[in-house]
Amino acid sequence: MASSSKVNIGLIRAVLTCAVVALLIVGCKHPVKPKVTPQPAKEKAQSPNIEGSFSKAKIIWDDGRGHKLWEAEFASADAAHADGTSKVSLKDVKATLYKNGKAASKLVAPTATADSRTKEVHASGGVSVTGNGATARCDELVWQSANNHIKGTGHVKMARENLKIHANSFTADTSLKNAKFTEAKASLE
Amino acid sequence: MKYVVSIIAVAAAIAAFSIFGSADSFALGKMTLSGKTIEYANQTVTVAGKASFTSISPQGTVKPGTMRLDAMRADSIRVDLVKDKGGKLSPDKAVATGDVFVKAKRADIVAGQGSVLRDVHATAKSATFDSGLATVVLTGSAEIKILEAGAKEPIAVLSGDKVTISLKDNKMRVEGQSEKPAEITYTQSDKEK
Repeated sequence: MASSSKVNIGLIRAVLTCAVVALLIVGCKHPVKPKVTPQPAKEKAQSPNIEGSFSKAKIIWDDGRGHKLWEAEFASADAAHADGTSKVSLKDVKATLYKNGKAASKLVAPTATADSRTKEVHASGGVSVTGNGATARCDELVWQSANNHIKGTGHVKMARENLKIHANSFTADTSLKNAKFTEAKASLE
Repeated sequence: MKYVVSIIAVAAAIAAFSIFGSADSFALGKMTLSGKTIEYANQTVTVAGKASFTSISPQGTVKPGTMRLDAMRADSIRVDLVKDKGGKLSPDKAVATGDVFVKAKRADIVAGQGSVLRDVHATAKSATFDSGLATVVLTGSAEIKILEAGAKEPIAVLSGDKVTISLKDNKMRVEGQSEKPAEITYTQSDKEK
């Protein structure tokens, strides 16, 4: 009787050992999911902040539907991308401004800052913009592509054939087809 | 001693008043515009806020028997531009609105004196200059004063609801209304007596 008990115990031990080994080798049918601790919001992944410098390159904006808004060539640029917005400071800029996907005017400036989020360009240092047979020159200029709006300030001069206009400031559409000047004088020669 | 002769045109009668003149060519020449704001759209220039239109033709070059438009001032002035034969923009028509003042020069042919330059000062509610017709039409309480060069007192005053000035032949046409007839006042100077 004692020997059969010993055999039974030995058999049970053997079975249990085999079961443990099998579990270790084969694994569970339903693997246990690792416990995940949710990260606090501030630790979630964000678009990276990028800064860089470029030279003799080109920038092109489009409206997301394949229509160009702005195309600029420059001698050098410093770009910064942060919080989903890109701002670039350009030197010796020659740009084409587009309206409804078509080239509307040309802008030349020593310096310009372009904001890809607002789609605005601020040019300074003596700006000229040419379109629709007219050329406007001013100290500083802001172009809002979304509004099809140009505003120039400081020593404004516009020439359209033999019509010359001097003013303190002016606003116009992107193509310079229509323009309005303040504190202005026009001469027809 | 001077005396005033007043002629009052009756009702809807049209008074034609011409002083010496012979048909001759007319040219506006170059011009400047100034004002609080200037708008350009579709070959039209609109000046607003103390608007001023000035011809910059050489001084003293009024052909005998013609008039020259020197300046217009108003609350606003609109100038329609056209391209001339040389492809240059030139004024086709100018419309002045609100508190209008017009300054012109006329070269009268006076017997025994030749060509005499006189100043023309006109006021009205509105005025239209037409380059093709070489006319200036004043409407709304129009009044024209003709002065000897440099004088303060006019030698003639014309007033009416509408005055049409023909620059190329130095003529003025004054029109009144039944309730407000046209008036022409001529002042004889001492040396004319």
